[in-house]
Amino acid sequence: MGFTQAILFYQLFGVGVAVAAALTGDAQGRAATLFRTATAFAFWPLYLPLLLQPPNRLPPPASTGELGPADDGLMETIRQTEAELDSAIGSLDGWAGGVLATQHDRFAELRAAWRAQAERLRSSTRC
Amino acid sequence: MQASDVHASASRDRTVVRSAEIEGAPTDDLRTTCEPTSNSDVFLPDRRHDVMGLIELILKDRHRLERVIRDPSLSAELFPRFLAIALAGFTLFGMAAAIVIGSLGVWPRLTAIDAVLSQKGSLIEFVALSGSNRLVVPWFDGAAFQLIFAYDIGLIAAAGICLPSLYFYGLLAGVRMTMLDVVIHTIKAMATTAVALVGILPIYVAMSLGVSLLPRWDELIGATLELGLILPFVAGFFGLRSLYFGFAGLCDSLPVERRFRRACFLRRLVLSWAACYSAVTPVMIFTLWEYLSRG
Repeated sequence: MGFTQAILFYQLFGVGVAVAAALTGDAQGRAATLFRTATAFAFWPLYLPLLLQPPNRLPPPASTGELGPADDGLMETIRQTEAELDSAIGSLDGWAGGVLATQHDRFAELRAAWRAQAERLRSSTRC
Repeated sequence: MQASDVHASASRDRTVVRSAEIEGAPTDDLRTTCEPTSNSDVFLPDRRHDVMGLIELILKDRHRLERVIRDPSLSAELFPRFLAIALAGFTLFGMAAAIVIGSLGVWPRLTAIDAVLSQKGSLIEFVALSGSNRLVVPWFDGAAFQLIFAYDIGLIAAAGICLPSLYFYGLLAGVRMTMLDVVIHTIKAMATTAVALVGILPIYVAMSLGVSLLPRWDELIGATLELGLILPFVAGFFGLRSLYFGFAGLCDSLPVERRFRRACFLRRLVLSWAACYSAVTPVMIFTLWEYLSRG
């Protein structure tokens, strides 16, 4: 197979991935979707894992309403920290299961503590 | 309430939260994944992950960048932005290279690799441009766009080719990561390379313009042009460093007793991957460029 045929096959796959990228990129703006489609055509091997990813790893839809207390920067930090904590605990793969079994209540306390502190901080800045 | 009071209160509250952390747990390990490195990180009201925000993170805050890319929910929005940064940087490089080569009054003539192997010729030969306005000739006949296109596609598509091996290396080292994680780390390294390339570019352009003012000395001009063509690989060391730190950070998902041994192994594997990528990319760029310049 020559270089021309290889490019032809590459582009054929590219068309398929570009269409898939265009169909999944509807939540973004038109320019973003256009960029995504064009680059998916050219660099489809990089887009493939993104498109094949289960939907629970994709970002939640953007909220359109007014920013409430749950949407401020502090809450985002807490959510991120909790996600990292969960991921860290999940990555232990059972090697420290015995130790962590006694610490579940403390994890819950920790989560409750930083949410309470965030609420306190939020109310103090409102004053 | 004054802003300083709020900040002081925040510091106190943070101390309380930290004191609630698990006693006896390896706090250093928690710090690598969960704890912010600076105060401003926690209380930054606007966490911008747009293109300019990511460039800022690449330049100023590597640790936070590593944390941001490890958030799986951000992968879908970060990937096109890193790609945009990489493409913009490589396109800028291509434009600057075309201007520099044209300003020296020459343009590369490429010979196919198989022809060189059979006839023992030269892969790249710089031939003098004809005409009165030599600077714009490559732009009008499309040669400059071929160069830009070859570098843009070649540098990024070569990463796509090498991606499965990086994923395999990660698994071999025992790091828990998905293919998407590998893609995000790779494209982040590409974006870092592009940013570094844009930083190096003015120095190279100034040096080349200096060479063009000197009395004509073909060896010096040839060396300057060849340096220009390998400039993305020089900047690639910054990308490699970024990739290495990204992967080294993933070692915190390994059990403690195996972490250091595996980290050493992973370091070697990342270096091997970089060597593999450095071998594939020039071939990719050259083949594309030569193919486009035939027509």
